[in-house]
Amino acid sequence: MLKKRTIFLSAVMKWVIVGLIGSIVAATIWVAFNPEIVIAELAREMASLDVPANIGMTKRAMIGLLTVPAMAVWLMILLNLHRLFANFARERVFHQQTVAAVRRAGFWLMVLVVVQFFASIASSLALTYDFGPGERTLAITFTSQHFILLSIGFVLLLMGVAMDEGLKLDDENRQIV
Amino acid sequence: MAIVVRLDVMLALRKMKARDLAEQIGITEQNVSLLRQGKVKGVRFETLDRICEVLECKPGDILDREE
Repeated sequence: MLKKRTIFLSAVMKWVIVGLIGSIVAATIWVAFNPEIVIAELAREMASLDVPANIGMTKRAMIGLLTVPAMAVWLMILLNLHRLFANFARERVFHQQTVAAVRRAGFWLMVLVVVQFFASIASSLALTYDFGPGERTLAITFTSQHFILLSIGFVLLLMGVAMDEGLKLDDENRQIV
Repeated sequence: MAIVVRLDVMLALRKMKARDLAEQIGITEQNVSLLRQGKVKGVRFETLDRICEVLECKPGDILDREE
């Protein structure tokens, strides 16, 4: 039996995540149409490259659209965390759905790092492909933030696999009278 | 090959209800029912011993093997 406080906290977290999902969707739509923030980040990544003030619509659209896959992966992570807390709120801790949510959240967190890595390369290409010789840049970034996300994802994935094995053992034990 | 549980036969011979057996051996009636239907993966020696004690029989009277 879970404590009432834990159940209440899980229910609150469930709604917090619903809020975060809403913000992610809103932010994706906003960034897709206003990619200045992504361009500024790209310029910083590329050793503070001088980015021209007027960037064409095609480039803006391309850079904007390149943020969508990462946001979609964030959505998958949040949906799985939502499922996890919803199960906690229903007092289903060692349950097949809960374990699957932990495992999937870890998997998508690792996918996020890969998606961000390639999106960063693609965005730098999209931004600088028509620049003059010597100014075209290919940004390949792997920061400590990526490493931390990758580690957390891996740990979650491992935890999910271990919990899954535990669940199978428990199920087998239940079938022995 | 299959292990067959003959608990039903022993209960009928001893004119005992599953509920009474469950009570005396200290497991749930639901588990006794699953055992009678052979829907369990295993029986603990401890449970088997208690069943034998209550039904005054040997493990071979409860468990059988069919080809």
